[in-house]
Amino acid sequence: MFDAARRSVLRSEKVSRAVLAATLVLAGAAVTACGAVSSAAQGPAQLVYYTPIDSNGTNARAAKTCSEQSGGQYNITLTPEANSSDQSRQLIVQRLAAHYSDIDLINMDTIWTAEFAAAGWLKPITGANRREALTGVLPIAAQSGEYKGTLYAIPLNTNAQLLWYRKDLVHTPPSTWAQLIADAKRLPASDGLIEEQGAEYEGYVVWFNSLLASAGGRVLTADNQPSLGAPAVAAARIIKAVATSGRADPSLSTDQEDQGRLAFEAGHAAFMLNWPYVYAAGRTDAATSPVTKHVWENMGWAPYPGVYPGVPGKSSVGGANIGVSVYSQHPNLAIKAALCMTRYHWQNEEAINEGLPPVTIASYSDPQVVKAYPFASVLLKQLEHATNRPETPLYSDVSLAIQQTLHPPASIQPEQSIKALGSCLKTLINGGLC
Amino acid sequence: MTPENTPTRRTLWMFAAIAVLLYALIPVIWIASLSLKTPESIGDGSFFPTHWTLSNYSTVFHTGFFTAALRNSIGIALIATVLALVFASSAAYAITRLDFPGKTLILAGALAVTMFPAISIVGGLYNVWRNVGLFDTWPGLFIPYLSFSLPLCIYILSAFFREIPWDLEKAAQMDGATPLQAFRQVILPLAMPGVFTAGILAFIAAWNDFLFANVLTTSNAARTAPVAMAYFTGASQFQQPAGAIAAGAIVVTVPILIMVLLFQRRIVSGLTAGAVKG
Amino acid sequence: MATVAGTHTTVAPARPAPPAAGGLTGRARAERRLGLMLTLPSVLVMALVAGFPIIYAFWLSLHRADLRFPALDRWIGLDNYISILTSHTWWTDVENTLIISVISVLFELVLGLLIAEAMYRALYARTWIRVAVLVPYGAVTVVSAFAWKLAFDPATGFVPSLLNLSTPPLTTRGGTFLVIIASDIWKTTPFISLLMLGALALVPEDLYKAAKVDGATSLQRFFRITLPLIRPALMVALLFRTLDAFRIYDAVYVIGNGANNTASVSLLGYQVLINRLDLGLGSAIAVLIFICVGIIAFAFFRFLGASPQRR
Repeated sequence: MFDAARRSVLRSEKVSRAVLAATLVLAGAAVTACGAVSSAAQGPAQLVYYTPIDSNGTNARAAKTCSEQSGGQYNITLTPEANSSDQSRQLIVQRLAAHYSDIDLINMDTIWTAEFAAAGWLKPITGANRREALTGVLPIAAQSGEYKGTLYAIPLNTNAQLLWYRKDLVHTPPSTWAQLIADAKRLPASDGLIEEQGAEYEGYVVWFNSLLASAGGRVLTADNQPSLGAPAVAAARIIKAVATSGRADPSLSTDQEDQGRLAFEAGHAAFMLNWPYVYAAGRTDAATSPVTKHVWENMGWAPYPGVYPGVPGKSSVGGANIGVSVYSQHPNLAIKAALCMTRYHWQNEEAINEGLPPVTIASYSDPQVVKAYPFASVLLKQLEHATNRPETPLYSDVSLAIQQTLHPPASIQPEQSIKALGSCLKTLINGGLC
Repeated sequence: MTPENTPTRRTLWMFAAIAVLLYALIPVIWIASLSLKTPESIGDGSFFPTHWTLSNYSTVFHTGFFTAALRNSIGIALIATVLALVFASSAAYAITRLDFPGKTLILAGALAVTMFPAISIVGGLYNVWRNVGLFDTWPGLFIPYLSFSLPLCIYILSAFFREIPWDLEKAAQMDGATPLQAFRQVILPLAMPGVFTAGILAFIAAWNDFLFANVLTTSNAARTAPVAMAYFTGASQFQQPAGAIAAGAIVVTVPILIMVLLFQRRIVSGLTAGAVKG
Repeated sequence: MATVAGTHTTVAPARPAPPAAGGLTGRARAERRLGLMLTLPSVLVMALVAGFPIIYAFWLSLHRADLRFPALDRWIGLDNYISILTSHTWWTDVENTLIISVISVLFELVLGLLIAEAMYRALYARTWIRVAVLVPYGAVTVVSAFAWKLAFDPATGFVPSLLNLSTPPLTTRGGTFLVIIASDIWKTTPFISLLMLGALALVPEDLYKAAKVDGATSLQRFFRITLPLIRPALMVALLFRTLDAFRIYDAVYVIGNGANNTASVSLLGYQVLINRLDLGLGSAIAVLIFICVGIIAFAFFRFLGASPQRR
């Protein structure tokens, strides 16, 4: 019995010795691990920024400067997105749905905000960060980064289409679409074309949405129900009228922004509805031939045409915001980095060097910006009368539905197509297939 | 001179040969010519380039993302091929040499699997890979590739192995060789052509894939060359880089073309073996 | 061999031991085991990478499973299928897929047979023809699609100015179909012609000689001798090609991405699965495509006598 007791004591001694040894080992490991972690944290956090690379390097410079100014807290590296907005969205969405932590900052098209926010992929920006992000920013741009009142993406740049026209062919620019078509018809078909984006892609939805908003309507109500009605029919009628006017570009139904721009620069068109990037592009291309030079010298701009006389036209806003992925390992640093890269200084740099309109209202009176954008005041006015595309998590479905029911432009039957669109939207909202 | 070999027949066949050559080569020559056009002359509507440049090729090779895509394509296709050959060889050996129940079922099953639409497989895989962490990785691609490379290899290898005179192995053993020697020196040389052919055809099939790679990859980590071609970026947000795409297309096609031309006899025998020898 | 004591049985010539009760000799059993062992890995792999995803797709298709609205995930039974089968987008895409498949396969068959005959009977340049035929085979499908698309695109191509076309082909439904089908025909005809070449080689030359002696023209020889004899191989080639054509995705994606109402069913599945991230609906489309392919294969086996096993 004593033996048993002795054995048990020895055993328990062994056990306690083992426990002590284990504890020491674990503690040592913990200390070294903590040491390792803290020494790793001493290096700057690597933030990956998923964005199109600016052709004149502005956002690369912004990333570098902001990294330096962070005092070693973070280092931003840029990863290029894909060629088109749709492809970029698909890539990002696949990665976010897979909870990948290798994207921290995302250059987001304005139409992605609702979808990404509702899916829970974006970190909300609140309090002082929100105030800093939205101070002095155009209301329409601020709205494009919000979903249900919370800010999910920091406004980076904005965009709105204007009416570009040939001053030598048209003396007063038209203020409504009906006038635009009539003016174009008065010119010969060889150089009186109207350039619009009529391909079956997102740009087509921009056109339809602009017309719809100009007619006072909207696609969806606040609780995601289709609300098309008479304004939608009016919008559809205008698209069809342009397509069948005899002055639409023959490749209207496959034209995107750049095809229209090139046709305008080659002297084939008197009118072009397009983003302001065409101004700088036209200036560069003016040197290539006498035709492009002549077009450039006579390039005029005007507000987006309206649907009803006396009611100014509203154009759909484009642009980009910077969102922070909720799977990022350094979300707070990422927010800081985004706020740095969207500061007033970089707003003006992007505007002057890259042709991307700023979100800060004050930029539009900055002399340097005005020098690069002679049309700055017209653009600002347009941005104050602008509309966002439907802010719903189902946006990609809505966009597809519009593209499918209202394309090709020449074969639209206004009442029927809008009715089809309405029932298609209802099906999509309930998770079905049109 | 046989009645067939008249001068008129000769010229007729010559024309036929030229016609077939033109049919095969015009699209390839067109893409090559597009890849050599300067960015300004891309839209000039002519078949041959009026202004030459190699800048499209330097764009292709200096964007890290296309060279990464090439690397991914080569690696993933190789692994898928090797794995398929390993599994298929043992299966084909068993099917042609051994007697066991379910042989025809396995062959029929392999045939059926080649008929599965890729879209039907890829959706479920996307969800599983995403949860398991294989999304956008090499295994995430070469594993699904086995769904077409494995049955293909089983079919071709079965056809080839059926033609091997297996008794030679027994004869060699009777002449005093050990089983291993008999296998290595008699059977293996006879089996290698079939294995090689099956390997080439499986590699081409894997290299060619677009749907699986488009869905299951999103970055340089595993994106393959055909998908990278569809994701080339242009100078501005709105431009389509046709020249770079064409250069990428040539870079993707030429190695396979060289391989195909070098091994054309094998490929023809492989493709016809499947049909004829069943 | 145990003999019952006292009975006289004729001694049979030496034979291996009769199978024990249960049916197999030891050697046969070992062979069976080895055979199953060697094929098991392949069977498992195929079941895993092809069988399991289809079953999983079927399972997903019975749910509302949208990655953008994870909170709405729930069982909905056959609702996805009802939605698809009552959707005009689905039926339009089925129609598109059938248009592309039928026209492609018809042309490929005729052209493939012609090229196969050329390869079989060519006295000169046989190697050149064979080489030429393998070039499209080695080209990646996406490359072929880009080549044809860029050739017909007015911004980059030579065809619109060559043929003096007023409407660019890629802006119309028919034009887009044309380019897609052309790309598919160019790429796949060589494969058909190689399959046909093997079958042509099996037709005995004597039959042709006898027919010629009897005064048959080459056309009669083709329809009365060649065609019936290569019919089994022709049916197999037709089966595989039709299934492949029905699953078309690469060319449709690259050439127009479904614009002008030219989407194929595979492209629709891709759009719903990956653009909309609606896994439930997308999986239902995937399962329906699988069923369609099964129906086509069944029709071939049953009614057209295609059988890879019969030679």
